[in-house]
Amino acid sequence: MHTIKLSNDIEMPAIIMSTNWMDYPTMKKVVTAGLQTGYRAFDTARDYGNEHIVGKVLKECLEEQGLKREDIFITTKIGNSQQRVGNIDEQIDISLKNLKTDYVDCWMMHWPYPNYYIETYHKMEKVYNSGKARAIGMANYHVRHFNKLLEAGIEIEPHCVQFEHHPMRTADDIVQFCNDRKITIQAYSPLCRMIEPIRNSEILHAIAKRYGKTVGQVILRWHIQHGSVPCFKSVNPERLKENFDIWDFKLTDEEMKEISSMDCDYKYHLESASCPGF
Amino acid sequence: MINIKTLSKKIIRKSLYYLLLSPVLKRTNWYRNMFVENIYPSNSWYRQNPERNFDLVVLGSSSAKWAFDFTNSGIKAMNWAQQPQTLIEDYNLFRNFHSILRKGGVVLITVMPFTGLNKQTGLYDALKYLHVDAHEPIQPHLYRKAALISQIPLLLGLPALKALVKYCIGKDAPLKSNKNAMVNENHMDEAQLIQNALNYINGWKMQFGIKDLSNPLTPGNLKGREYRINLMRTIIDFCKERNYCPIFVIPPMTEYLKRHLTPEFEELYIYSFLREVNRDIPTLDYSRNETFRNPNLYFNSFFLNNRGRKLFTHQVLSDIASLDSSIISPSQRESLIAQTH
Repeated sequence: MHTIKLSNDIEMPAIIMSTNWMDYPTMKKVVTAGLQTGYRAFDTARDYGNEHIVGKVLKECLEEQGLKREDIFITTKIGNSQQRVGNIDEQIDISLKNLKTDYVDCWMMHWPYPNYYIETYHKMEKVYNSGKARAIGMANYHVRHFNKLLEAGIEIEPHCVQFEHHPMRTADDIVQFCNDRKITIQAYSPLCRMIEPIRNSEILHAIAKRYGKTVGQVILRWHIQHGSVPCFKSVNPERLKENFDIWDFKLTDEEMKEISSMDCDYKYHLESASCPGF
Repeated sequence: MINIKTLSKKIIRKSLYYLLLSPVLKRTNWYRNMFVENIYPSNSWYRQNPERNFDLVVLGSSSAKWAFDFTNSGIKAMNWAQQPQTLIEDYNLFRNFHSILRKGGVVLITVMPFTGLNKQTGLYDALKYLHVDAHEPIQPHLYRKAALISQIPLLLGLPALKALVKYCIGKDAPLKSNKNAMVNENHMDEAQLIQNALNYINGWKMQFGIKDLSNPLTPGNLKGREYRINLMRTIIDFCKERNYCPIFVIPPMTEYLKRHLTPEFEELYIYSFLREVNRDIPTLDYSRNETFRNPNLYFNSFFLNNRGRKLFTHQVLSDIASLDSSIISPSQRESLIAQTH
């Protein structure tokens, strides 16, 4: 399994399957296929409303495939409503219970929820020190959020950050910030939902043809070579296999630049619509 | 002692009454007219619409709603103004939906004659924004009560019963329409314009408890003004922290309305308010612009018609394009100039 080392030496698989909004039958089918394909990292969140299904499915699938808890990497996230309640130390226990595990590999705050996120992070640091989370981080931060957090002072440097990242949103400022501080990037919507400009991109098609790969595989390879960890969702087992078949080719520097030239700061997900005051 | 059986029957009867009639009431135009159109880039909107990185959004009330028409302007813009809309609703709409703007996008904050005063929020104001798909209420005041009424509109009592009867006999209220505003000429004659302007003035005076527009602000209005000053500062700071370009726009009005708003009034209610907000942002003031005094550009004494909106929008975009480079970056300016010519 290809992995990336976080700044605290924890190893994280270099590609992640998302489980958001899946029900039990779908998730069972997808996780079974994913583990058989070789996926070892799974992403969820309290806000997806199915943390408990993830826990049940993972437990079943690990048993069925003769794998152990330590063979997989679980990321989950704490939502805004939990940040508002403030009992962060209790929230991790709820997540652990949902996920049927003693620890999560990466625990993130889902949003820099205004007026709460700094305090939340300080409470997350305590949870990290307790060992219930092997790494901590955040999702959907901009550099201004990091700066505010740093101004407030932190004890534990974030290990991982997840944000929307793909060729149409290279987010150079956030990537640079993370690289400077050795914060590993998880990229959600890594294929930008294959929207029309991606699907029909001449740049991507030309490169895909050169390597006998699909557009999706080329983009995922672009992520890997950037050092960002794509976190994608698919309910199609064949697509899972396709997306895992990205280790046998390497994009040139020129091709990497060409793909990055598609950047237009396009965010599929509008942050403030999910997190008012973002 | 309360007869449990009678009480239960009463509760069941009432519940059935409310539950059975509410779905019917929800089909009436009277009910539909209570809510604003869901025109905002919400979670459901963005999944249906691929457009992102808008250049500009408009915040404001009635006059802003009728001041702009960005069709064929080359600018990707959204006008979030509603009729009427207060500053707190502007702020909450912006907090929920600002991510539709591109980096450095323009936020036009429309300033009307009484933007500097606060108004009482009622149940209908709370109801208005209830169906906007947002994570936090756009109008938080009376939110719970409004939410309950939106589910069981019969709780509004007599108006609801009247609407129900009218619906049942085929005399439902017409759906709100913008038809009057979609004209190219002003269909009011001079007498009507004079009366219309007077209606606005009298309405505002009544709304804010003002006897004479040249009198100093009442204690209540001074308090409201302080609230508005702080809220306006919050909006501007929120924009600036996110690297947007907030700009005040004072829209024009016909001579018929303008004549009631003396320079003393403007100083007392508008300019001193903006000074007290004390934020260094550009102000585009069209209140003295002679071109826009022409009543033929309006559909009443206050709101621009189709022709007026196009002309005014072009004027505002040109003026934004020519703003100092410390506010609008050279590339933004070039882009705006290119798009407005």
